[in-house]
Amino acid sequence: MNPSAVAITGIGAISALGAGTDAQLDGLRKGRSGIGHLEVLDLPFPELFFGEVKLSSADLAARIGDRADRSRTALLAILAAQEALEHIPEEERRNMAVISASTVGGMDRSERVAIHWLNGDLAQAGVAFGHPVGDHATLLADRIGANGFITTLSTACSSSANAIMLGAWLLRTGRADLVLAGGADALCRFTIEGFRSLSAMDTQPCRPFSDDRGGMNLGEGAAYLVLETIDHARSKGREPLALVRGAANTNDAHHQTATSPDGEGPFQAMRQALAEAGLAPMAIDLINAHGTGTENNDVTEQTAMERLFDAMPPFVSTKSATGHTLAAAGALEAVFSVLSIRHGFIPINLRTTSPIAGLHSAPTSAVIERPIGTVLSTSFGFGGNDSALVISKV
Amino acid sequence: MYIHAAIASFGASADPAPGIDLVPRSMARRMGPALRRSVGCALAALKAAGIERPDAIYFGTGLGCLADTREFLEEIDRNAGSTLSPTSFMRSTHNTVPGLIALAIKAVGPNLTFSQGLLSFHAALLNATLHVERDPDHMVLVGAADEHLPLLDALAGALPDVALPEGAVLSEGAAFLVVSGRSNEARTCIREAWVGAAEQLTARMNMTGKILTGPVLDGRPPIDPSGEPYALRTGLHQSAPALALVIAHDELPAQEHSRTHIIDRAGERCGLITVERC
Repeated sequence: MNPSAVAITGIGAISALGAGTDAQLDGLRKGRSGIGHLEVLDLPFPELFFGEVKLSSADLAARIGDRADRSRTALLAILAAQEALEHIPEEERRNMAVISASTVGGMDRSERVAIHWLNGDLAQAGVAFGHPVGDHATLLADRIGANGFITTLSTACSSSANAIMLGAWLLRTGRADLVLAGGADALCRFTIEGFRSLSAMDTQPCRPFSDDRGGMNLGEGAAYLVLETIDHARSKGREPLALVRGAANTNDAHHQTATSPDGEGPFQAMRQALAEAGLAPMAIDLINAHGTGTENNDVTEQTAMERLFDAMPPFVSTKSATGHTLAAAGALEAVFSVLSIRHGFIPINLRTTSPIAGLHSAPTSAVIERPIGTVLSTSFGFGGNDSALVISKV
Repeated sequence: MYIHAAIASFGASADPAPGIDLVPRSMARRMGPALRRSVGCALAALKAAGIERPDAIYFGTGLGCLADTREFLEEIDRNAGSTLSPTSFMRSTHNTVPGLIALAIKAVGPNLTFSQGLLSFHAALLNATLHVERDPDHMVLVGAADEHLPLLDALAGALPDVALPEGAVLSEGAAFLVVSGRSNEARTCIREAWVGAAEQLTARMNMTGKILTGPVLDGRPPIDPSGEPYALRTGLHQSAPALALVIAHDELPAQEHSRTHIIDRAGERCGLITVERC
């Protein structure tokens, strides 16, 4: 084992499947869906389906011992990060790099007052402090006692996959000993109206990679991973859960929001991540696909996968269980990949009725218990942003 | 890491902004002025470096495309319940500028956007450093941009915890540089792109040089009172450190010190960019 290989030594997550990695594991192994109507959030979309975290901001704040008047993004982030860091002593956190990701940051709070600000009423101006997407990372770093490098990736729906990629890079070049990488996004009206304006939202629970798919369900959540070199982990007595073997980011350079018909950007991201890992496509046991459920994404993504793989490995969109958690998705699905490797199972791609016409493969239709050595996890975003991670057994 | 071109555009002074004529017309028509300025500035930097397309684009922004964010919030308020126009939503994502640059010139390499207040650009520059260490021959476009809205002035006035430095005004701007690991005929190079704990800053600045200090908005004293406050020249916005770097790059050949440190503080953390003559 290369001593500078990047190990994952801690994971934490919260999504529509529940709070904590045990809840994610339980949901994925039972093939449970977290998709439903809103029950907690006060947002005007009774007809739509979401992957909502069934804890109010007050509940989240109480769990982490914080104020409820923070952005929900920050509360979700802190909860997931605390779980990932449970075994990391405080003195080690001090110089830890924090690399987070978000698309909306504190928009869930600022969108409720911004229109009044724009109309000249500056009541609650203090909410503006929590608006920037990087603010949740500052709060998170302060809460966990990290005072080293800090940044927030904001590349739309691939954001936290890119956070993991940068984390691995900092470790390999010796610029950090310990990295917390991940991302968070809360549901808010801004993004819901946004994806609705793009006609990208399914009016039913989403059906990724199904021929009759009708769009995505938005979700919310947060996920963080503790990354360190194998050598560093072992010197601290920590057993790696899995390895980040490869990572790549490419640009499709085709359209601001749509993917090119042959999925060239996604194809190159997957190809380059495999090359960095030094693996051939046949080494992949499972693809945790991006699979939003939109017409454009799923057909182009599957086209790209079929171009890369002569024999398609099982592929799944766990967004069928969690909804699309935007900037949190890459890290959440990296956590799911670790769970698949650690516990030996392939999750189910829920609600697929028939495979996409004209293509040659279908997503998983059952939870299958099977040893998993290597997972390819993909995340694609606006701005032609395409990322892929290769996560392997130690 | 060597600087092959550095272009900045800021405040109301740059009219017309550099590179505006390089933005493909079909794209420029649908862009607001700030977006046009950012993309133009990037294309001008590439042209100055004599390259058609970079191998990677790393970008920092504190608040993203604010005008589009405002427009979509107003659209939601005005047309709640009906079908909304997606244009401003699509443009409101923080990676719009580097996404549009990639689209304009078919740049298919890595394309990352970092947002961490005043320290946003530092992460982009650090990522560029990592990139050229791995692939010294690659030409990397690195930059930052932020927009100004009158609302920011109103909010700053309404927030008792915000104290703008005397003489500085909230503003906007864009700056882009082309860098690589090969000296070619570069006159300046980046020695440091760092973000970390404030108490470690002095140790990172172990060589003497001219000091440019960033704006401090929380009323605390500047981190190095001997430094020249660059925000008086760049205006106050979260991409100002990138503009300060372009200023430092432009002034280095003629200045006394062979090196300039640009230091910024955000809360308990600091950013340092060191650029020197090579």
